[in-house]
Amino acid sequence: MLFNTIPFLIFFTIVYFIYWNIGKRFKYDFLILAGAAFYYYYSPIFLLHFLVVICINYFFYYQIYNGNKSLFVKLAVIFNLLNLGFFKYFYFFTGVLNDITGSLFFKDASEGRWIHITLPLAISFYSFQMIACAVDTYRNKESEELLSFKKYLLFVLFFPVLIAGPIMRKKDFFPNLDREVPQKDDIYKACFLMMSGLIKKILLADPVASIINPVFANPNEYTAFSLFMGGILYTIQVYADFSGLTDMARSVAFFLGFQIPENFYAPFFSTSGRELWKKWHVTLSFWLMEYIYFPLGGNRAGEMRTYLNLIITMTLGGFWHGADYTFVVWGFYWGSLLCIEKYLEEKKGLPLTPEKSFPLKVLKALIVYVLFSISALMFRSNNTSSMIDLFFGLFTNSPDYLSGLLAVNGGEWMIQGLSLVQSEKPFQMNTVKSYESVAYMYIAFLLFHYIQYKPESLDKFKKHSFTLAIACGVITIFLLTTLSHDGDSFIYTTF
Amino acid sequence: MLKNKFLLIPLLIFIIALAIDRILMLENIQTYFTKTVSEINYFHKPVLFQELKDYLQKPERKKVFVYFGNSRALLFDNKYIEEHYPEWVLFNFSVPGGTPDYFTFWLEQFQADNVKPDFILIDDSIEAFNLSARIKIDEVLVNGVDFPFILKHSSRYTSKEITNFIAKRLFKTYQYRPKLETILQRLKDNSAIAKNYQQWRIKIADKLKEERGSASSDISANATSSPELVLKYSEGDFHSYIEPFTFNENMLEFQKDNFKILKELGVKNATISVRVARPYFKYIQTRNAVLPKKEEPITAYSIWYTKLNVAHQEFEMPLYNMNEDQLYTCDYFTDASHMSTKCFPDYTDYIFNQIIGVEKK
Repeated sequence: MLFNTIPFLIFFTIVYFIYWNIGKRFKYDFLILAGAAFYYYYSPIFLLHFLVVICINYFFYYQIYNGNKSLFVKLAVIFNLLNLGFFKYFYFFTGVLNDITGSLFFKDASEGRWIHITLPLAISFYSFQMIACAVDTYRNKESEELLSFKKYLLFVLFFPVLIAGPIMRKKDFFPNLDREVPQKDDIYKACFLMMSGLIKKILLADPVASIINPVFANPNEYTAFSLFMGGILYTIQVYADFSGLTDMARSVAFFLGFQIPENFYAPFFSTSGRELWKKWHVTLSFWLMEYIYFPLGGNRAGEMRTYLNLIITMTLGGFWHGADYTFVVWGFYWGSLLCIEKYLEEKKGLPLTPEKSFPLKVLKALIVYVLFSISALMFRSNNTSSMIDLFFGLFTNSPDYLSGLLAVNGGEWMIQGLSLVQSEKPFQMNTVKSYESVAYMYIAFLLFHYIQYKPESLDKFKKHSFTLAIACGVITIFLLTTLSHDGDSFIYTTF
Repeated sequence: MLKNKFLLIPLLIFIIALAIDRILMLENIQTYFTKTVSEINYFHKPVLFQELKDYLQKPERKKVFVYFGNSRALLFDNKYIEEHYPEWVLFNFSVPGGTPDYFTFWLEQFQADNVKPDFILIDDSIEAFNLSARIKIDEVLVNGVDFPFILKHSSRYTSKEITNFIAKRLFKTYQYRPKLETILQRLKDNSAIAKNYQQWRIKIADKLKEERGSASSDISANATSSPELVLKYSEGDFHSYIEPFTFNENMLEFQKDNFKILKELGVKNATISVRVARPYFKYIQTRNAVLPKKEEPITAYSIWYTKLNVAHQEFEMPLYNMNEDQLYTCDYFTDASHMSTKCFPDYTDYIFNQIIGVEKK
């Protein structure tokens, strides 16, 4: 039940009207019930599994809180990683073992001949959320009160984050429970976030996907420039898709009077890789830093160890996204880039991050964007061989590549024959078309970045919130009804 | 909630949008942007159903033949039927994009109201059973069936189909997608195109009423295309409607429901696979349509035929396959999927002679 579907609209309309019409003491019970119903719609069996996982995690949490710290925090981490590992990485690891040993046993297992495993909804997100909860309790026991099982259940089963985060920590969530009455501003924010989320997903991410999907399906048939453009455009798609999904999740939470964390702060206005990762999927970046990078020693364990820690953290971050070598390479690429950046800036004193000059800032932001787009080719590749094809194609796929290949192999006559009957040059590589719509999409992409970069620029419209919410809401509905395409699912729901 | 009226803002947005949508769909306004007339066929069917019920009550009446088909069965000529099969009358429940679920929708009402014509013919087109066609025909969902029907059979529809059904029923602008370019064009010359288009809609509605569900030949596209053009269309239709092919088991369940209802009604019946252009049929019969491609080609036809055959045998339901029947020879086509009106006399004869078993006069 994704946020941009009618079943969700019906579900949420019912939840919204009941939630705001029942007494405060029933509100949280009702939200737990709504969360369970939301997950039940996805899969009754996985709801059962999810509830068991929550119960076990609460047991660990309770033990940690009551003093059995060290053992149970380890158990909590191991348990969640095993749960995540089984559902998400079983095929990958048996595939790796097959690659190493060549054993039929592992081959069959990796191809799902023995066991068919489906990925439970939001497992990557809720596992990290519960690990964070256990570790935070381990670290800060004195400063907080014990959570009741009901509150813990509400924290994990809160349905707005059950599609693809944001990954919440206790301090992000529980202050919301102290808010007594609904706030008018929350409802306005919810309306605007829902509009922005729907526009990002349906009018930006989906149309971009329809342009680049053929490129990634057959990278061998496209020119090097088109492959490069595939990366550039996929960056727009993945931003619009995930940022749109986060906007919708935050909107749904705001409608219920909850404020949950943002994941994006204009990431592609960043002038360094370091800054990019502070502004892109912020809740995950924070989690990786807090629960992997710092425990590994962070930057306090010597220069080489700092680089190693960075690479390990980013590689694991890449691996979190998906069980494939492509994501591992993607994470490693970013870990390496961050190390190079750190080395050149801190060791060699090169001023790589401009602070004052606007043109230099724009230039550097563009460089960061291109670096991300190159990594987007890894991220988007369907598998390792497709990723290799993509990168190989970046260097080899000239427009005349096919005809050149034919000519070398004695097929010159075919080219000449065909050129007599068709107006276009025969055996040319395909190219990405629709550059006009790409230009519009890029403008929209920049506009959404500007709003995230300078949110205060919207403050001057605050006094007209009511009129704007109504007018923009109606316009958004008609934009969606008249311009929407048949869209794909959200990218991050598969992670 | 009433204490905090601002909580109703989302509802207010929704109601205003819905009201604007309804205003845009007023007949005089929608003629400036809608492009299709196929929904008129659907809107006419409840009227036709009432007419059928009234007709069957008449003490002096002709034998009634009901046809549940798709756009391939819309151009029957009642005058021809009256002339050559004077003891029969056709009530045509065919609609553009007609699929087994739409037939179930009506047959359930036939059963509920004990409506028993003398013969019922049901279409078995292969395209209706493809779940993964590149061009999705959703006209039945959007214009044909109603909410109680969807609710009753909700397990046979995907969440995406239900979403599509509700969204397009709620917001007609989502269904018709107004385009500025079309509006500007229709406004030209004192709205000459819009007025013509409106007249065309009225004419089709009148014809459907007059011809008992057939949108007869003089106002529909009826030209015969050249073999080269038909070949080109065949390629396009195969790509759009057949490849990739995933058999829609839910549609088969609807078709089985239809067979079951027909048995229970005790009305003489048969199913028909209407003739398509020869190149198109050859592609369906021989080309691989299952992706990813296997070494041995798997054709859509082999999958469809095997599955349907089992159902036909289970319910002892005869299938008349015009595509393989050597008794039928007329091959004039408007496009790959639709016979031109030149063939409709032969098509009519085939139904009456071969299927119903009536001699031509």
